[in-house]
Amino acid sequence: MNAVEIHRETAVSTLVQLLEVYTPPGEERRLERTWFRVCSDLGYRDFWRDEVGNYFAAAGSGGRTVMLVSHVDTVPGELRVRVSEGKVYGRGAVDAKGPLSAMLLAGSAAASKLKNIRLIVAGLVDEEGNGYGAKKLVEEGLEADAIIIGEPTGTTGIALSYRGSLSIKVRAQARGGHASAPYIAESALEKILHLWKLVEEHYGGKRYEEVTSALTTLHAGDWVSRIPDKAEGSINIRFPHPYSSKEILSKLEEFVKIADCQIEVIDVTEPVVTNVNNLAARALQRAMLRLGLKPRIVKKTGTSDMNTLVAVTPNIVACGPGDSTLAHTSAEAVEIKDIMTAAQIYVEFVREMDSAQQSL
Amino acid sequence: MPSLNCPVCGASVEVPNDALPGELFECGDCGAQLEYFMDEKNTASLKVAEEVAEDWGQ
Repeated sequence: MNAVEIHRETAVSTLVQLLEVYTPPGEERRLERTWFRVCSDLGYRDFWRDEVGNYFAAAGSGGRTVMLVSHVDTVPGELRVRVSEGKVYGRGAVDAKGPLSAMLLAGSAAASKLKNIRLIVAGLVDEEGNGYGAKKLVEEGLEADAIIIGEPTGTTGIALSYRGSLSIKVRAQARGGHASAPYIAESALEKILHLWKLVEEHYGGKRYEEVTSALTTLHAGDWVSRIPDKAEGSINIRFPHPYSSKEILSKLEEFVKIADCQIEVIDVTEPVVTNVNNLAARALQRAMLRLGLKPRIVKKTGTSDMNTLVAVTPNIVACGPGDSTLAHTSAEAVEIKDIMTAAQIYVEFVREMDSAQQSL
Repeated sequence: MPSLNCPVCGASVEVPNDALPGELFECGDCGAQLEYFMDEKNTASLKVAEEVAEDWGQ
């Protein structure tokens, strides 16, 4: 089949422009002028930013809505943007401005052929934070018939499942005391460590299918010979389907009583599992096969906006260019050819959805 | 819509008429991920798909 042509210079220029604006969570507004310029240059006539800061570009006016959704925020830690030896380097090149740029390129390339769908490319805010951008869309009653989430899956990986995430703040108070007589003192730090030991023993999984936990922050003490009377920490727990945050929180409440601590839930994201037979998964596979590529199914150990947007439609998968082991690292870079291939896959996916006879 | 047998549990799996070789389907009975396969005699069947890979995420 004839794959749509994606121009290399346009691909590089689009990604570089997105990367050159550093956008950690909370600072996504800085991208506004660039977004509008990029969309205009790519030929979009309909593009906007909503009240929570999510960015959109749309094409077509059919009755069904298909969305290509990625995010504009990146983890903190600015990196120099450069193009070298077939790769584009910069914070977000993998996660997820690379996938987002491929989606914008695809929407631009597919726009003139759309008959039955309205295609919306979205760059959401706060995915690396608490997913506020996606949560707001669900709250506002977003309607879509199929969604691809643009996250790095090595271009041909199709992610059908993400684990859930539970983040809690842990606090403890105690009498404290002098380090010379710990047997009559009471340590807030040891209370938190006791709680962590209970959590780790119960949720110390080593595989995707198990619940895993990590002690991510710990603050206590201000003097070498003083036993702390206050301590604070954070624990992050990841859990696959069919576990739920409710049952894990219930267990945590037991541990909290035993260890005499207090907890505060910072963020909850439930796990998501979709089916390889869902319409988006099928159309995406067919797009790859038509391009001579072999689709792979992957399951993600982390979370993404897919965990939230599955509430909009069951026809949802995640797929995008980039090596996810480079995400969040100082070596973040993506192959230009992978951006171009991903854009072609998205175009074929959109064509497949546009020509689908069955109602979604 | 033709039915093919799941190579894992033997259950019947319906495959759309327009399925492409290489497409993946899930067995409704045992949940196995199956690849639609066409042999040199153009006979369609299902085989167990390559193992699902784990990947990172946020």
